Amino acid sequence: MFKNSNVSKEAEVGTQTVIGEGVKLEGNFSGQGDVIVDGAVNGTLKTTGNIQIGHAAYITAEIAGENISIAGKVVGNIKASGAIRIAKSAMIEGDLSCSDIVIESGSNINGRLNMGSHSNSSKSEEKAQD
Amino acid sequence: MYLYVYDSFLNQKKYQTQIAKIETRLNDLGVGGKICRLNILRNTAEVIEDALRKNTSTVVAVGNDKTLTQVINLAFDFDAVIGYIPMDSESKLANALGLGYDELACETIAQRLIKKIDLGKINDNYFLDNAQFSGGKPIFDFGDYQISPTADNTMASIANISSSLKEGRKFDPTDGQLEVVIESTEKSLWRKKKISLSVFPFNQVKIKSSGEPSIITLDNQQIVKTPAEATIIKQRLKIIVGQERWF
Repeated sequence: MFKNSNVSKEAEVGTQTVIGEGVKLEGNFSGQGDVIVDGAVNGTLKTTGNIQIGHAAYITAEIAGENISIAGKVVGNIKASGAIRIAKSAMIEGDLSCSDIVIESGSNINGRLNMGSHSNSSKSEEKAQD
Repeated sequence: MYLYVYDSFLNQKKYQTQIAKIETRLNDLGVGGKICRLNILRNTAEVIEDALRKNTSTVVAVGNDKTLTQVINLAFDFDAVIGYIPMDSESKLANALGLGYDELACETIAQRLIKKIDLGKINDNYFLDNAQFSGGKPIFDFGDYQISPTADNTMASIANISSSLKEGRKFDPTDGQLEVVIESTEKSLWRKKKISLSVFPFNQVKIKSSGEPSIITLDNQQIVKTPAEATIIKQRLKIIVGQERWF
């Protein structure tokens, strides 16, 4: 599961990227560490680490990471190799793909949800029917 | 062989006792060496280059943080070991490097714990601590993406150690990367001032600005204007550090 404590611990030693309020990123960001977003992103946002999207963030981008936590506005597809955690303040327009998900009551999501284990089972069902 | 470079402000009478104590302590510890007192008539570059050609392997800056960065810019290309004896108890770089203050720093010099740390370079100028931007709106181009401040109250810098960052975050000058740091301050009459920090690690970045050029001040000394290019020189600066260092 996604652990907020991990992100904050690494923040202290300065190993990750932080897109804070009052800053805009444009283009295709591809990183390896954790990413914390509280500002604006336009393009793509990919990392092998965790992504934490704060309530002040406004993202128009395709997002891919390990565990992704969302509390802000996102327009674009979100793909997590691990879990997605959606806070009640989140507004999402795009498809979600992950192996585990936590959605808080009050969040606003407009898109399709694709979970790894379910998609595998539906494929196996189709094969069985054939 | 040690070369001690005394900054020109130490020629003032009020520093005489402090200087005498340091010289005695250095001799007691067996790390005494040649002393070079800078003054406005003396060319610092010539003095240091001359000494480094004559078997001096360690150059120790005696003064403040500006003295240290001045010595680094002059001695780095000679592959010398750099030391620092701060005469200012408020020295932020001495704190980051874990050196202690005057006599205590002499002991750090004698212990000779040498670390290879990163050094920043903008165009042809080196910086140890940070490079601060003022004027214009800087745009940092990392190749695949670029970042720019959108708020009015922002302060951009490139951090290696960044000993004086308001937010109190510590950077590691041995991690093989520099960081673009943007501090956004949200002012309000009723609420407490809120500071938001953005951090982008990098090895190379091109810097331009929208509108008028931004002025980049390296270690509070040298000034460069945008457009510019910042790169890292990984773990090449040999510097004497103390046990209480940040990194």
